[in-house]
Amino acid sequence: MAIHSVSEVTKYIKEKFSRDAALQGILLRGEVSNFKRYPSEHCYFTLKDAGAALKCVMFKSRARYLKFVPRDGMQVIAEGRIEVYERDGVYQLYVDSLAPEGTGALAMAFAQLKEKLTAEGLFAPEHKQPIPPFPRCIGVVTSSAGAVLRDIYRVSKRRFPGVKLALYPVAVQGEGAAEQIAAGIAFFNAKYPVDVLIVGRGGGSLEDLWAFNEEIVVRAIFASKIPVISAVGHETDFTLADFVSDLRAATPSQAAELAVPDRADLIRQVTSLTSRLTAISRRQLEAKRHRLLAASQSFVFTRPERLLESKQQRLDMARIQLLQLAKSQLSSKRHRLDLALKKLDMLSPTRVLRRGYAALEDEGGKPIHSVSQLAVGDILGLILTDGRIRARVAEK
Amino acid sequence: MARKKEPISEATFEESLANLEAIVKKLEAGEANLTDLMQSYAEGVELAKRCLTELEKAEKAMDIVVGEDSGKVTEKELIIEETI
Repeated sequence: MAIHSVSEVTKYIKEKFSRDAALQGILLRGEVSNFKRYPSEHCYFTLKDAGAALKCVMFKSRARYLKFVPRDGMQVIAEGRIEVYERDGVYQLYVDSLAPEGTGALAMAFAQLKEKLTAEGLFAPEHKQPIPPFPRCIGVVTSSAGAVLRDIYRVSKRRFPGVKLALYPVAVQGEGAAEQIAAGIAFFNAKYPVDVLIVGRGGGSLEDLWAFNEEIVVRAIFASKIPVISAVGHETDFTLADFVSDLRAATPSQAAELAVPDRADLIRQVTSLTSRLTAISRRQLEAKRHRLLAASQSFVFTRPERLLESKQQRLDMARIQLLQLAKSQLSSKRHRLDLALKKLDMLSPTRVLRRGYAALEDEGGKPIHSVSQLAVGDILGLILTDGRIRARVAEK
Repeated sequence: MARKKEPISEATFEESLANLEAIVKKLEAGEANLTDLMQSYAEGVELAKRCLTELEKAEKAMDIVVGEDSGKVTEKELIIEETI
């Protein structure tokens, strides 16, 4: 019997597949699992049903025509050819096209339970509890093996070495996992009070994460009086535990970051508060000093007489005004008197006589105004400025 | 119950920090009289010192695995090998 190399045998099998027309154009139905789209945009996943699983690859050239985003749990119909991939020694379906068929059983269960619990109000935001800012002790419900616990441990201790972890080890997938997780949450609530709980596991397929979609776990988280951070390691898909928890972390490391305060941050915070305190105190003190200085430099203190000065000045002003008023009134009266005197003087007969006129009077001393009062030969008196004479009328 | 009773210093830290924040906020909100100012400042500095002391002294706590044995709480040390 000849001895063959692995390559020869694999090539032989590959050719068998290639010659089989039934495998070269095939339609098959199954549930998508472990779907991954790489940066290259090639898609890799597994199609499965109750009895078997088949690896699938859909290259970018085909995947670009996909009308939907395949998700784990979806029931689909795939068209393509089955060939052997020599390097890994596996056969796989090279998918040309993919169409969704109804909904996968798990996805269906998920949707139905989600709908039911939403209606009951389990995911309502008003039930969310705040995460304590300075937890001293953190309860962890996860597997004692694996990276999850180590990630939580490493991040917690790095952020705050004084924080204490209390692990309640559970199975996070498989038979009984959901019951154990629920029991762990109940245990902390009933018998071992901690400040906050982290409940989670690392990433995986929808099936792997399924325990975190089970009603018993969702209800245990909802019932927890201790705030719960869910940490089911899956960036994109949410489990029902994520919806019901008080805070959802994408990964266990992130859960530890959310739960545990960073000591360096706290130190910075305290330091910053201290410098703000000093600055504001100094500023206020400075403002007070300034006000005091301004007040003590006021003339009230430096030259108190100035308080009087201004009053003195007002008094002086008033006095001057009064005097001026009196003066002006007096002078206007004086003026009127002068005018009157002047007029009087103008009217004075002696003033007329001084200009060379004479006044006439009869012998009785009555003034003579008219020629008709006199007859020729009448004696009359002439008054001049310097005396009087008697005269006789010679002619008329 | 089985929990180590450390939360006294813990509460002090949280309260101290909150009080410190309150003092700074109060002072920043408006002018205080001199007595208040000096008192607030002294108090704030004291609180900050207490906070920092609290943070500095936080030593590694012992982690544990908890469980139940016929209704009784069990505790044993949790040892995690930091192998990467």
